[in-house]
Amino acid sequence: MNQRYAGEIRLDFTERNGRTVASTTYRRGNSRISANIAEAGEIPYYFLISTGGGFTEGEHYLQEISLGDRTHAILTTQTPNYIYKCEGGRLTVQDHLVTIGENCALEYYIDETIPYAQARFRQNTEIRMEKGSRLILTDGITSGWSPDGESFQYRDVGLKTRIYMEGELLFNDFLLVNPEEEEMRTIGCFEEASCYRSAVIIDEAAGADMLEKLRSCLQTCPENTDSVRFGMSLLEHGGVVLRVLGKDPEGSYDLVQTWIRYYREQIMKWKHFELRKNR
Amino acid sequence: MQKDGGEQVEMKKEILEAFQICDSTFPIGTFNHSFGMENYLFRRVIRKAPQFREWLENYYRSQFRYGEGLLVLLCCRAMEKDAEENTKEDLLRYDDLITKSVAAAETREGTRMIAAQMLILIRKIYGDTIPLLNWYAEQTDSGHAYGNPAIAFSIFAYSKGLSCEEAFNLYGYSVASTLVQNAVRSVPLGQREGQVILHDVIQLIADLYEKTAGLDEDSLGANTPGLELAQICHETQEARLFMS
Repeated sequence: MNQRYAGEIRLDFTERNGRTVASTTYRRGNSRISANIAEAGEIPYYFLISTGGGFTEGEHYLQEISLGDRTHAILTTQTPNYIYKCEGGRLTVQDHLVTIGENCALEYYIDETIPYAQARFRQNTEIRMEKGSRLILTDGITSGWSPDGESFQYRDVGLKTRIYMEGELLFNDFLLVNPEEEEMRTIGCFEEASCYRSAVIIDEAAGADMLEKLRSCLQTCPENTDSVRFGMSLLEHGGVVLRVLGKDPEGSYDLVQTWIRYYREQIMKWKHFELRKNR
Repeated sequence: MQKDGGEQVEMKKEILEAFQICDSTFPIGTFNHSFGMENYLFRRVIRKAPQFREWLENYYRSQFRYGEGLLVLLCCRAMEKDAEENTKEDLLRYDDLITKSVAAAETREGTRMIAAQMLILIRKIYGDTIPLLNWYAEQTDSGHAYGNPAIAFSIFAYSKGLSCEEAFNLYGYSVASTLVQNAVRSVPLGQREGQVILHDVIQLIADLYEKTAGLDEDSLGANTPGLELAQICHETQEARLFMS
């Protein structure tokens, strides 16, 4: 572990007698890990916390997470990820390095990024999975925060996620938002929306049938309102992705949660649990 | 371009040969694909020329720039600098990376279909005279590559002695002219209005070359929310003229 990071987390999970336990919970600097939250029953469930309330200019954060074979864990950030102003133009960076063994399940609910005026940020997530494993991953970005209440006052934010299955690239998911160069309210950018959310499910069984079920679940749900636009599509192999553009962070959040709940409870038959946490 | 008179004539012929591949009437199925534009038509976000222009310009600033535009530059550079084996390795990696960067299944499928048609037609015209192109066609036929028209075009353009910049501009023009023709059929957009927009996009492509030339593989596949969501939503759209 390295002093150059403003905050570090290392979480390792291993299987013991058919149950998943956290074998390493290391943190340093501005990063904290909560105690195990009992909400999810036998599944370890942790909040990943930034004690500074947000990241400041030029800071570099690292999260290293590993799941041994046959483990299941749930991780989430405690709050949206605030990126403070970068007046000097230096990038703020967060790296997530995730390795997932065979026949595991990782639920990794990253909250939306909220960049302040002038913020610059890169989030690099690399997830390496082995066969039989599943992943639920969320992410997002908003129109940001600025003292005068104007939207999209940040400079540039890139959220890049690369997911590999048995060494083969499954998905290179790279959202690049650059209000400094582009007009965000135009056709093809954010248009009328103020919040973008993404959810990715990696599952070898993902195909036309699963897509159809996930589509019909959102078609009829009460969260499908005029304030959200969404769509989903299949990845080249073993995955489905949901994208949402919402006029407010809450409506789009609820829609994503409904989608994930359907997958967890109706498709996977996992036990219900409440993710949170105050919003 | 060479200053010598004879060479100049030769290069002009080769520019024309590349231009033939870039013509919007080159029958490789591009007229079937709107790359999400039709979803904006369906939602009545694009109604006339101004909204189509806005969409097209944003398409170039993000999806083209970080997608097929950057791909052309990466492929040309790989052919310029590398030994043949390394070039092939690079091209296959780019083919995989660009395909896996696209969340919308229809857009991936459309891209593949256009690449397959392009490879067939170039080989019908040029036979087996471009070995790397034959190799790429074999890779796509055998399932070792997905197929991308920007890669196929780059291989062709390089074999004709075009520079990276010429290949970037020509390929960019090719995509724009097709999208404008597709918009003329569907927006509706007048032929003359379409040509004015296309002319302005030529300048945009030239500017984008300057901004894109410094990028490397790490930037490949970056996307913008609205463009991508429209491509995803086209999949379930009720009334459709285009396949993507």
